[in-house]
Parts: sequence; structure tokens; C-alpha cells
Amino acid sequence: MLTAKLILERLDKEGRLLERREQPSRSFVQNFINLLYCAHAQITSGSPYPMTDIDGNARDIDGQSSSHYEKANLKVGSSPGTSGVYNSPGFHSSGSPYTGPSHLNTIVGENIGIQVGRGDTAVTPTDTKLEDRIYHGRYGVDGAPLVYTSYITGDDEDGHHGIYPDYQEGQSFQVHVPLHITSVKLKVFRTGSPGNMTVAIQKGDADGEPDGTDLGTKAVNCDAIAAASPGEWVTWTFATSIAIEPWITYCIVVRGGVNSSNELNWRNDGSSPTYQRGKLLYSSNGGVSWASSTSDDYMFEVWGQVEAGEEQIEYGGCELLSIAFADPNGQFTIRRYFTNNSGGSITVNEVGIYSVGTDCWNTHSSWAFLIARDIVSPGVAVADTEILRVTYVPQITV
Amino acid sequence: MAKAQVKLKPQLEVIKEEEIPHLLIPGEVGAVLELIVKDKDGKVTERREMRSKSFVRQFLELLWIQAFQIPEVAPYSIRDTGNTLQDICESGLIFACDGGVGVVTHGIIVGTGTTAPTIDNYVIETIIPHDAAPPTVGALQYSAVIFGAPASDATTSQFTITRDFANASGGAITVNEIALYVKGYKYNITCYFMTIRDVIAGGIAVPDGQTLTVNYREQAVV
Repeated sequence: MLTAKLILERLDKEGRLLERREQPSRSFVQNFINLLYCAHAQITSGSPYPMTDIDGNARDIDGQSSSHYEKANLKVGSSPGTSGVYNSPGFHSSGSPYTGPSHLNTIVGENIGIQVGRGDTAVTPTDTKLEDRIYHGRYGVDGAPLVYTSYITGDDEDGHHGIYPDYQEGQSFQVHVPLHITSVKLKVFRTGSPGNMTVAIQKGDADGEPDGTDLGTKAVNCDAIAAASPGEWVTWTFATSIAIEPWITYCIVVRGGVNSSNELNWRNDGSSPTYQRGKLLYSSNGGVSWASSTSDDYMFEVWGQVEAGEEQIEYGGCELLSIAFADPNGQFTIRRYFTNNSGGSITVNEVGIYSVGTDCWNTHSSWAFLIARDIVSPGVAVADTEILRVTYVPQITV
Repeated sequence: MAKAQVKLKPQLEVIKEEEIPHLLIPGEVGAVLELIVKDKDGKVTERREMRSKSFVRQFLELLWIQAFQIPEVAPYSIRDTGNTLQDICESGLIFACDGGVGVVTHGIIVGTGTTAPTIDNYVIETIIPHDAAPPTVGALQYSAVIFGAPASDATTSQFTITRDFANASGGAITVNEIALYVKGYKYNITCYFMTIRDVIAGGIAVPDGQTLTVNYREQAVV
């Protein structure tokens, strides 16, 4: 049988051991079985196997690979933090080895390998992510809202389309921390009297377009804002902050207005937009379906703050150490260091392992999947400047 | 008298959640081995279910290679079923066990050996060969390997690897050992490795004209 030991060690900043815990891992979940199935059965891209990735998206996975046969499925070793890890989906373009579009096959290092989190709900086979993952970084609690992402210069057009019923406009974005959005600022002007204009935050779907579910909304009456281009910055402050995750695409969606004579106009850069983490979005059927433009970006600011319980911890690389056998046992070691530089204490209640699954032919893509998850009870409190070393030791015994 | 016709097409059954066998304990990843003997009319004449002794060292080595993404330029050596150390790297072929009809390089393999498994086993002790031209004394007809898709219940997730072994040899054959062979790869060379080996206490007899179905259900229990 294959089992695993889980070892958690808390170290001071000089590396001295402060606390050590060892427990049997309970952890391999169905996605681990799913990846083994794809390998054993050589599941093809023509009949892929659906799996749910760590972002909750359904992905078609296969065990297929083309001429050079490399395949990143079941990868656990990883680089630190947000450094990119290229994962071969097993696809080659003609005459070129080890290729596949890098933007579809690069996963940030923190999303592969051992993970830590704050969740304490019992593990089930169908878990697809850590319940409340602690993200990589040094951010601690903010004293006040800050701008976390924006695009504020270069506007040279008055919007893709005026905003009034049926015509909604949007802008996708990403942030690099677990954030509570407090407000959004947009550079806009009115035509006539558009009345209340609503700004909503929605999560992006697999195409990076609004998924139709408002995470939060705010309506502001725009009858007294600037009446001509280039407009002014107007703030929409949410009554309750909106929690979003890092490196996930979200969308600002603007809707309202009356008609083409009483509409809101949103300033955009239509000549040389440089916002890297999103694109301009538009709908002509009241948000039922969306399209996008990668040659335009709207003017916007996203304000928010990191709140207590969302402090970040710095992920080192995920190491795999040598394999060893002594009859009747065999084992290898997976290890990762987590350094707390957030300014506050972080309590770890869950750990797990994210691995890679890929699609060879259809999208040539790779994604991260939960393969193991464990609850740590009581949680391990890692003080500011301390280091948590998490080790999994998979073992077989005949 | 006409020779008994044995069917080589295994029947794939969907395992309902409530039928997932629970022989492993929380925290284990392993296999449940199910052996079913059926007569020519499909009537079950014997059935057994047991924990597999799995896995042997090659399973962990192949898993480590894939988890670590060991590259072609710095391969790792694993002992293949021919007792040769082979340089292996990460690939989409690792763990492939989709052997076709009559294929004994990969897939579920049966044998007559009775020595208890050890972690260093790399090959089945005494293989029962594929009967390519029945009747062949001591040989069974290996079907193609088929797979049951993953399923899970409140504690256990699993998928199934299935192979039929039809006996048209003219006499009874007792299967004492079961193994799983899989692929590994480097430098355009595909190699074969044993990842599981089980010895069946007392063996399971497959009378002439009957078929043994072997189900390996790989499971993880939380």
C-alpha cells in the first residue's frame, strides 16, 4: 500500500526548531486517482476525462502525448512563489520539440506542490482545492484601502459603446493578493441624464468574460457628473467589501442608463492599451453574452485591502528528495518551506498537494489539481519571521 | 464433440458508488483485487475479493520520476521485467497498461508462482503465457485490458483495471499470482515494469472452458 507521513516543523528565522509534529496523512483525494487513471488507460484527447481544477473550472484531461512523449501530469516539484513553471501538455508543433503555447502551460510555482491553508473542514474524496488557501506573498493586513490594480492613462476614445439597457460594458482585471474590494473608480462622462448606473463585480468565466453572477454591486446616480469627454473619475463604493482571490480573472460590469440620449460613456485606450491582466468587455443583449477586445482597455482603479485572516506567507520551491528502499519499505520525500514575513501570526489548519494535469491536443494546456489534503488540528501558529517546513513522505510497504 | 468456445471480450460494468469495496483503511492508496471465474454461459462459479499486496518498488520509482519530472538528460534507472536496468524519464507513457489481446508486456498478467511478494520483485515469478493457438497446455487467452472510470463515495475513490483470461487449454489451470505491468520511456524506447504483484493463497482454479476475470480496483481512502 501507499501511505504518507505528514511532518510540520516550525523554525525561527535562524532555522532553529521550535515545534515539530508528525501525523499520518489521510489525504489522497479522487483527483490523484483520476490522474493515475488517465495514465494507466492512456486517455486520449479525443475522449478526455473531465476534472475540476483548483479554480473550480471543469477541464478535459488526457494521458496522451505526441512524438517526444513528455507529459507534466502528476508533477509536484515546483519553483518558489510566483516564478513560472512550464508544464508540457505532451504537444509538439511540427518540427519543434518541447513546445506548446507557454501562456497556456505556465503555472505559477506556488500553485504546484505542497500548499498550506486555514480551512478546517474534514477532507472528502471529492475536494478539489484547499478550503481556505494561504497565498504566497509578504502582504499583511492593510490599515486602509489601497489601489491594487488600475489603468489610468492613455485614454483616447469615449468607450466601445454607450451604456444603456441592453448595452453593458466591462473591464476584466486580476490582483496579486487575496483582496477585499471596497470601491471602484471609473473615468466616465454622461450624455443626458442616465440616472443610476450600477457597477458590479463578477468572476470571469473560462474565456475571461463575466460569468453572470454579481459578487457585489453599487448604484450611483450619474445625472450630475461631467457631461462631456474626457469625463471625470467617479467612485462606486460597495456597502460590503467583495472578497476576491489572487490571479483569478474578475470583471467590472457597468449597466444602467435609459437610452442612447441618456447614457454613460466610459473612457478607454483604443490605440495602444497596455493593461496586461485584462481586456475590454461588451454586451449588446443585457449581459446574456459577452465579447471582448484585446486592443482596448477601459480606465479604472480597483481599491481594496487585505484583511485579518488573509495574510500571506512566502512559498519556497517544492523539493523532491531522493527515493530510498529498505525491504519491505520504500519512500521519497516532498518538502516545502513557508516563510512568514506578513507582520502578523498565521495559523495553518490544513495542508495539501497541488499537481498538474494537461490536455495534449485540444487546448495544449495545463492546470493545477488537488491530489492530497490534510487537516492539522490543532493548527500550527507561525509567528512573524518564523518558517514552517512541511514534509510529505509517501511510502510503500509490501 | 465441438470444442468449448471461450469468450475473450470482457464485460465492463459500471461500479455504483454503493458497490465500492472498502478493504483499505483511511490514508491508504492501494488496490482491491477481485477474481471471478465464470463458465461458458457467464455463470459465476467462484468469486474472491481481497486487499492487494501492492505496490512494489517500480510503482514508487515511476511515481517519483513523474512527480519530479525527471528529464531525458538526467534519467533514473529502474529494473524492467527483463531484469535489465533501464534509464527512464518523465513521459506520457508512464503507467500505461492498456495491453491489447494477447499482449503480455503490459496490463494484468497471471502466473503460477507462489513465492510471497517482496518490494524488490520486478517480474511475475512464473508467467502463464497467452494461448495464441488453442489448445495450448498451461496457457490462457489474454483479452484486451479495459478500464472502469473513476468513482467515489464518502471515503473512497477508485477506478478499475480489468482483464479476462479464458481457458481453452484442454485442462484446468490454477492461477497463483497476479501482477500489473506498465510502460516507462526514454530515448524513443518503451520499457515495461511491474508495479503490483499478488500471490493468491491456495490459488484460484480456472477449469477448462471457463474464464477468469481479474479486476484491480486502484483506490484512495481519506
